[in-house]
Amino acid sequence: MKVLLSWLNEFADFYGLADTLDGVIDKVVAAANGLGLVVEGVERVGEGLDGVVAVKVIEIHPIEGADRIRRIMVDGGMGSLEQIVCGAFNFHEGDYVPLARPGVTLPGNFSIAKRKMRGVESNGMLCSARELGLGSDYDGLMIIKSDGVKPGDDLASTLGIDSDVIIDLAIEANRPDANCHMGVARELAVFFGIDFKAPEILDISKVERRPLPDDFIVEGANSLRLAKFDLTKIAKDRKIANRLELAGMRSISPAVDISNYLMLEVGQPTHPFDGDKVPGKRVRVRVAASGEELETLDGQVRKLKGESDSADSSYDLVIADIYGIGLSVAGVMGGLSSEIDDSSTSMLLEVASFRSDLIAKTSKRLGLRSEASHRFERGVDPDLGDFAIARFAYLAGVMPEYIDVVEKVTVRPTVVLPKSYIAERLGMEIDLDAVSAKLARLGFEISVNESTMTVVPPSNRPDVTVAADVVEEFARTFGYQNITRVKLTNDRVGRLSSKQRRRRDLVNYLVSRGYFEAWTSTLLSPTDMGLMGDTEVAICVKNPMAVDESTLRRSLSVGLSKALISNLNRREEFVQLFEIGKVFSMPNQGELLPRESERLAILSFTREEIPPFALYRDLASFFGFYDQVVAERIEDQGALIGAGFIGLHPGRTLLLRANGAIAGVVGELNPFAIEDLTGVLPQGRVSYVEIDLDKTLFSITTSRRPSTPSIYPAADFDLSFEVASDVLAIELENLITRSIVGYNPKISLIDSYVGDSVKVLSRSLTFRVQVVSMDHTLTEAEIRSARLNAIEAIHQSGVGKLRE
Amino acid sequence: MDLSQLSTVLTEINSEFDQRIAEASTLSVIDQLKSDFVGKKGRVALLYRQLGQIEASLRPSAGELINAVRDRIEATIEDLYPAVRRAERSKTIASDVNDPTSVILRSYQGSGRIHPVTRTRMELEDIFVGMGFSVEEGPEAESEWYNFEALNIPKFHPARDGQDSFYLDLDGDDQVVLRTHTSPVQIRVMQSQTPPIYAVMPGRVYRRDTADARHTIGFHQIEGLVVDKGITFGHLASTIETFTKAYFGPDMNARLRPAYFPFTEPSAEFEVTCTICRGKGCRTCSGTGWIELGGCGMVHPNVLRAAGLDPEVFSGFAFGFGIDRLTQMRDEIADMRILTENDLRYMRSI
Repeated sequence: MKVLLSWLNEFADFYGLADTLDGVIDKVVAAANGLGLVVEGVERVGEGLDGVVAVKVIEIHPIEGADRIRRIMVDGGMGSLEQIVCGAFNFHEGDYVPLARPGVTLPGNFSIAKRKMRGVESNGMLCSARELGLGSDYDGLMIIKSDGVKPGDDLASTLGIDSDVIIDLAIEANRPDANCHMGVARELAVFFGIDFKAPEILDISKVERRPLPDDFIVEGANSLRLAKFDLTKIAKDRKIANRLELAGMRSISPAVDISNYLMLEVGQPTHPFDGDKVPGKRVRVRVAASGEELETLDGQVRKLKGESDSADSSYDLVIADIYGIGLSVAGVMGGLSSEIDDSSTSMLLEVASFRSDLIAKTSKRLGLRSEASHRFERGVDPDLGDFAIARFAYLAGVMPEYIDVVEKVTVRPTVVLPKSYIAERLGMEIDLDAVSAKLARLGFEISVNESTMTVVPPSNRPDVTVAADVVEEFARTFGYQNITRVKLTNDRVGRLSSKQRRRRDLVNYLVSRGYFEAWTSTLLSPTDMGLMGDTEVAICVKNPMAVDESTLRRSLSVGLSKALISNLNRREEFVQLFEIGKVFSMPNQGELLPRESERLAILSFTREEIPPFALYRDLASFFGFYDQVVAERIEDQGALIGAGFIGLHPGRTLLLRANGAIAGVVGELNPFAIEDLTGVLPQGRVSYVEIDLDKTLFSITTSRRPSTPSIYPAADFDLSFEVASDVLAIELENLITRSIVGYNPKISLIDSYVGDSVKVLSRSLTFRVQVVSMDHTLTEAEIRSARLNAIEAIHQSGVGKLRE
Repeated sequence: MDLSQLSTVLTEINSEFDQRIAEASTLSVIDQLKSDFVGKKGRVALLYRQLGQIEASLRPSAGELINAVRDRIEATIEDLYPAVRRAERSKTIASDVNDPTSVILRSYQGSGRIHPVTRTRMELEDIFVGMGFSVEEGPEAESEWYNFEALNIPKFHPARDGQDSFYLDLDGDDQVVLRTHTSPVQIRVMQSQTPPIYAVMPGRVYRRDTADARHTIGFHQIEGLVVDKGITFGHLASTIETFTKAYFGPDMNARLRPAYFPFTEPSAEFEVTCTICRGKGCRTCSGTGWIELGGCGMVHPNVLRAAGLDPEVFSGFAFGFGIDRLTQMRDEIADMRILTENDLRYMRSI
C-alpha cells in the first residue's frame, strides 16, 4: 500500500522528527520496518519543478537534414515567442506543454542549459512526465490539460502538485488496521511517542437516523448504513484528486474520489449509489441467487453463487434494492446500473461491514480484486460506520440528509492469559506496564490482576483472538530486536539417518565416477511418457500452468533423455548424468496420497561405451545389495511399464527384482523412443540404469561379513561353454558358484565369443574359476572334482554345453 | 705353470680389473666385468682349470692365491654395485621426462559434480546436524489437510493466495496438492515423535508462480522445528543467530522483524547481513545492509493442537527458507533457470 508522508503528517507531527526531510524519511522507514510494516520503496515526487512553466505551442517547423527533431516556437508569456528544439512528436499547435528554461535543474539533478542542435538554438527543454518525476510516461511530452492554464503559468501550481514522499508498504494479511493512513500513522505515533490526532469530522449526531428492518441484512453482513447526500453540493477537491493519483488510484468524480480517499485514509470502503437509480432509495444485503447475473462497474457480467451451489457452504452477497433487484456485488464492486455519472444529483453512500471470509471467497471466485475487497477480506473495523460517514461529510463539506441504519451487536473478543505467559513465551521479563501503556494508545484495553491479564483488542484488530496473538503484540511493541537471545541447549545428538547417509554416499560415488547430478522436471507434458512407450495413466495436475507441465512423472527416463539431447545439441560429446528424485503413481486402493518412490537414474552416452551391467554390479556390490537383487531378461514388457520403467531397449535391458518386486532396470534406452520424444536419434548407445531406491539401497543392507583371506594358495581353471543367445552370462556364473561348495569360488568371464566356428549354438562364454580352501592346499583331485561339478551343474540346467 | 707365473697372471688380472672397474659406471658394464673375471668362463675360472698344471703340493697355495684374487674382485664388485645402481636409476629417472598436461580428453573424462542445490542442502543439513537436529523428510504430494488446514490455513485464507497450489486429479474424497512448502513435514514429525523435537526438513516444493526469469518447476526449502517444554522466542532468535554465523561466517548477523504467517504467532521475517556488501549497503540489499532470508516464529497453538500436542504443555518455534535462494546468493546466479537446464557446460564450471 502506498502512503503519503504529507497525509500521515495530518495525524501526527512526523515532519518534526528530524531537521531534514531525509532525516524524517530515515526515521519513519526504520520504524515502519521494525513494526512489521515493511517498506518496499520510497519515492520523492513533485520536487525539482521550480522554474518549470506551462507554455503554449504556437508553431512547429521541421529542421533541414533532421528527421528526429523539430524547431518549436512556444509562447511562455514573455512577450515574444521562445525557440526550442524538441524530439517529441505527440503534440500539436495550441497544446500546453511543460518548459524547463536554461538554469533550471530537473529531478535527478539534470541541469538545463542553452544549446545548439543542427545549428538551431534551443532555449530550454520541453519535458515528458518522467523527466519531471511525475510519472512513468516517456512516450512524448506531457500535455497539460488543466482548465484556465495561461502561457507562463508555474507548472506545479497549475497541476496542483505539492512535493511529497510516497512510501510503499507491504501490509501483512493479519494487519487490516494498517491498510489505511490513519492506522499506519497511529502505529508510528505510538512508536515515536508523539501525539496522534484523529481526523476532523462533522457532527452528524443531529442527522435523522432511520432504522432499517433487521432482515435488511443477512448472515454475512454485520451492519449496513445508507447516508443520503446532495451531490450538487460536492465540488472537486484538487488535493484529494492529487493524493489519490499519488497513492495509485484514478481520480473519477468528486463523490467517488472522496469515497476512495476515505478508504485510503480510515480503511472503510464505501460505495456511492446514484440515488435516483435506486428504486425505493433503500438497499438491503441478500444472498445471491444461484446463477444470478450482475453487470459490474467494469462492464463485465458476473455470474454469482447461491447458497446451495456446491458442498462449499459459502455464497456471494449482493446489495439489492427493496424489490430485490441486484445492484452491486457486496464488498467487491459496484454495479453499472446504479453508477454515479455527470448528471447524477443525489447520492446514497453505502457503508457496510461484511464477514471477511465470504468476501474473500467471492473475490477469488470472480477473479476480481478491488481495493474494497482487499480490505474486506482482511477485516474492516465493524465499528467504523458512523465515523466514516462523519468524515465523508467533512471532506465533502456537506451534511448527510439522513442515515438509514441496521446493525448487529458485535462483541469484541476478550483474551485472558496467565500474567506470566508473556515472559514464558518470550524467554525474558519485559516491563508489562510500559508496553501496556503503548498498546492502550492503539486501543487495546488491558487489565492485570495478581495472576491473570485480560486483553480486549480494539475493533480494528480482528486478528488478535488468542494468547499467542497478545504475545506478538507485546513483542512487536517492545521491539523484536530488544528481546534477549537465549542459547538453546539440548543433549540430543544430531545425525543423518542411515537412509540419508546412504543417499549421500551414493551421490559421492556417482560423482567420483564421472556423473553429473541433474535436476529434471517432476511435471511433464501428457504426451511425453506416451512417446517413450508408456501405456499407463499418469496422475494429472488439475490446474497446470502450462500443458507441458501437467503430468507427474512415472519414470526419470523422460527427463534424462531430454537432458541428453539438449546436451548433444550443445555439441557435448560425452554425457554422463544421474538424478535422484521422486516418481508418482496412482494411490493404492483406499488411500488418498499417490504412491511416491525415490528413484536413482544413471544415463551415460560416451564414445567408449560403459557396460551398464558393470556399472550397476559395481554400484550394487559397493552398497551391498547386489546379492539380494536378481537380474533377469524382460519377459513381460507390460509389467515393467506398469512398475514405471519406460523407454527401454528390450533386447539389451535387464529387469531387477528385489524380494520378488520389480525394483529397477539395467541396460540401454531405446534410441527410437528418444527420437520420438525429442526428434533426435542419438548416434550411439545410451546406457541406462534406473533403480527404486526404497526397494534397494534404502531397505537392503549387506548381509555379508568381512572374511579373513585363506593362507593357502589358490588354484584356477578355465571353462568354456556354448550357450544360446538368450542365456545370460550371470546365469552360468551363478550355477558355477553354487556348484562349488566350500572352496570360495571367484568367477570371472574372460571371453565372450560369437562366430561361425560355433556351430549348433551361437555363443561361447569362457569363465576363469579360482578356488581356494580355508584349511588346506587343494589337491589336484579336489580341483578336478570341483571342475566336474561345475560342468555337471551347467549340463543339468541345460543352459550350455562344455566346449571341448 | 709355476707359482710365480701364477702370481704374475694374478697381478695382471688385478691391475686389469682395477683399470676396468675404475671406468665402469653402469650395471651392465659391471655385470660384464663380473662375467669376464669371476664368471663361469671368466679369467679366474680359467685359472682354476689350469691348477692341474701346477705341482700337486703347491696346488693348495695356488688355490689360495686365486681365491684371494677372486674374493677381492667379487667384494669390489659387491661394494660398487649399490652406488652404480643408484647412479644408474637416477640417470634413468632423470631422463624419463614427459608433458603431464598432455592428457587426451578421450582417455580421461574426470569426475562429475553434485548439483549446486544438493550441495547447499548438504551444507545446511551438516550445520543443523551439528546443532543437534535430525533431518526429516515427507511426501511431495500432500493432502490439503497437511499442507494447509493443519497449519492453520483454512480455505480462502488470504495466505493461500501467495502460494497457489497445483491440485492433483485423483478420485479421493479429499484434495491432494503438490506441497507448497515443507511445513507439512512439521505436522508429520509432531505426530510421529514425542518432544523434545529438533528437526530440519529439506525438500522440493511446488507453486504456481508466474513464469518469469526466476521460474523453475519446483524449488527447494528447508524448514526447522523445535518443540519442547519451555521453548521461547529468545531461543528462536538465538538459534537463527547461531545458524547465520555458522553458515555465512562469524562476522554475519541476523535480525528479526514482525511478519505474518498463519502457522506461527508471534511471527518474524529474518534478515541476515548482506553477503555482498557485508552490511555497508549496496544495490543487492537496496542500501539497507540486510537481506531477507526467510520466515520464522513460535509455532501457533492451533498447529500444535492439529498435530496432537497440548499447547499448554509444549511450545516451539519453526523457521524456513529457500535452499535455491541460498545457492543463488552463493553462486551469484542471475537466472535461476540454469539450475534445471542440466547444461554440462555450466555443471563442469561448478
